[in-house]
Amino acid sequence: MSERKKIDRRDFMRFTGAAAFTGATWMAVGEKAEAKYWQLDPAKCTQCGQCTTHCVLNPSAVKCLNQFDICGYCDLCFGYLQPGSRDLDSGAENQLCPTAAIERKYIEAPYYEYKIHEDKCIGCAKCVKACLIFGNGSFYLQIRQDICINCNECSIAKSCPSDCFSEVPQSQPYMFLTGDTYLAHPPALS
Amino acid sequence: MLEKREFDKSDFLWRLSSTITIVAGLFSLLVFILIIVNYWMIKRADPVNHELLTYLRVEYANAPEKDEALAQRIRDLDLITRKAFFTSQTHLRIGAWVLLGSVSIFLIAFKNMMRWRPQLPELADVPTADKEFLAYAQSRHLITWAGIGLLAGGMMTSYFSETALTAELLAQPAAAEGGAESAAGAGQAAAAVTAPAWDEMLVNWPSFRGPGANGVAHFTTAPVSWDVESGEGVRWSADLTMPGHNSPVIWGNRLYISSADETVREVACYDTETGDLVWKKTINALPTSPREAPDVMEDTGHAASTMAAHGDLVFALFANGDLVALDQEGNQRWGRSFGIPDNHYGHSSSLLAYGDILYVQYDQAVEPKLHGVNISTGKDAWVAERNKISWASPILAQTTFGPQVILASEQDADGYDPVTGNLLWSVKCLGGEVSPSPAYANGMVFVANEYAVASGVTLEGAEGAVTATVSWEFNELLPEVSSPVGDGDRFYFGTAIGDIVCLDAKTGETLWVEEVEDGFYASPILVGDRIYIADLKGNMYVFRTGSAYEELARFSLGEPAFATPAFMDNRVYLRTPEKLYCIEAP
Repeated sequence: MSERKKIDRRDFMRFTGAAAFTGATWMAVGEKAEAKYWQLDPAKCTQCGQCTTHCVLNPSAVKCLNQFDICGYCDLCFGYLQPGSRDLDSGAENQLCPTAAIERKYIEAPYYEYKIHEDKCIGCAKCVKACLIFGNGSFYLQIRQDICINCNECSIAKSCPSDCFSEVPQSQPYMFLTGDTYLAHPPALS
Repeated sequence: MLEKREFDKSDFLWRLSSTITIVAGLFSLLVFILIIVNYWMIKRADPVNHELLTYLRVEYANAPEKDEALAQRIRDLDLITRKAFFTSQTHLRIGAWVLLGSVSIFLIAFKNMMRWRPQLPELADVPTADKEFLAYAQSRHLITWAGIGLLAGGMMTSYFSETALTAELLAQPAAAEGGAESAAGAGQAAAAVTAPAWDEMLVNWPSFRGPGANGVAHFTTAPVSWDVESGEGVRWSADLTMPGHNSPVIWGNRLYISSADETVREVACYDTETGDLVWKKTINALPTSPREAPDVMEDTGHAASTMAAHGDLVFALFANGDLVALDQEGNQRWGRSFGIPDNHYGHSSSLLAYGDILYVQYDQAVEPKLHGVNISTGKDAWVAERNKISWASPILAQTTFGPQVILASEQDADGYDPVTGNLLWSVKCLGGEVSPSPAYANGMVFVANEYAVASGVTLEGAEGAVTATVSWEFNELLPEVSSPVGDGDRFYFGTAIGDIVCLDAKTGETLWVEEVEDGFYASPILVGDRIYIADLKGNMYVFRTGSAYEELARFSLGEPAFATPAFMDNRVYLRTPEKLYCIEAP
């Protein structure tokens, strides 16, 4: 029968100290170790079009959204219609979106609602660019977290020329724009 | 228990699992290949920068008036493009799940197959290493042959799946112009067209050098002389604004010409009685049309191929390889693109139609072909491979053995069955870069080319078993561009240095040579007992057929002459670079 080793006071103090240090470290970094998601900042986006081609997914996980409280509900919507369109109707010859992802719905003269079908959107930002230049700027891009596979090194982030991609905490995964400013973490989703 | 063991020992389970393994493996490989092809196609698809759509939208926006037909075309193409893009993505997702399932089945079946494989009694005298080798030999064979089969099946499947979309785009019928017809014409099968009979073709001027493109007019009367400067004999004239070296073709009271430059392609229709422009149609790019203009020589241009008029339809081929069929009102019935021909001079072969087939001699450096195109649908009824190329045009010869389509190439004269496209005969009798088309008369084919040789080829035998033999050769004065014509006893042609030559059809003996002012690009036409031919300076020569040169008229057209005139019903229709004339005898 082997003789049982006796723990002396010094060993006990070392064990206790190490345990306390480990616990304190765990608690210190625990807050920061929360899962993070990639997201793009609409304020920095220059609509370069790379979100369409550089995402590992096809179509891209980056989708266009329309913020309705900014939208002017214009009859002549620059995000919806080709420049110089002969008619302000939904004919393919007049539509700007290459995949017809934007639905134009009549409200009352002269107002129309523009809804984006994200299953058709490929994140090309053509509508975003036109709406920003000529319109109210209600169209903007965003990474849809239910589609994004959250690559360790996001392919779009690596190629984004305006450095608008960053990792955001899981609890605040979307960056919206509101009015004249961009609200990174709107109360509804925080 | 005993029964179960006996069952286990039988090879039923092994055979069952083997079959499942093979089927699942084949299926998995097939799905895998399809997924790869699909993924590649999706990566290639770029809906954001679809060149043709962008081009058409700009064209639509810049048009002076709203073009409903063009708008409809944009809508159709937009729909096809989006459908192809999203359908491929759906297929990719479904394919991934199917692949996962089939691979799982394959692995399970393979495991069972190995478990239940027949166990042979061990041979004591076989070394251990050899035993293992023998035990796995069958599996190796199985896997090898399965792999070969899968690869072949996958390649076939990927080929057909890839060509499906291409075929859809190729067969895209152009929307007929105008309201309801536009929508109806876009997606429906083309209605069959009634092909005119040969007798009808004879009383028209349906192609380059007349009926059958043989240089012989059915009508035997035509004015002998006229004066465009004073207007004597000129029934009407029309100004031309677009370039084109092709000759006029006529069906009924309508005359057709095509014109083109690097960017614009046109077909124009004139009333033969009044010279009024009935319609002019701009031929828009097809979904598969090349985006860049071809490199062509100035002498060839972008509209060198003469059109073919064939009953209710007219056909036009341009240097970029676009072939279109229009009806008599100018509505585009169908269009297809052959792609830019690999051809350093530019494409010049003219069109010829007979029965239900339009013959397109698409000779080019890579894969030259004679296409037999269905006139109703624009699709190939057959395609005949060509060994050598030329810049000449096909002719239709009504031989005693039945009609034949005869072509010239860099080394051969070739005869084809006009219905099946089968090669009936081929004889080596040419050389160099051949532009003159063949001529046929009285059982004899005549082909010639400058810096090479001219040959008289005799056709003998019976229908379906025709033999062609070179009866004689001639290599003194030879044509460069202008095609010959025969009257049965003699062949006549014009050279590029300004000679009109007459040879005996049976012997090839030179009967006479007439030196004239300039060389010939336009071809001679036999009208009754007279031959008309215009040189490059625009001098028209009219002489009587016979064993001696008997000139009936020589006069200036006032402009250079590249195109060959059309002769119908006591009239001559003539295209010069700037004018279209109708000459009528008083």
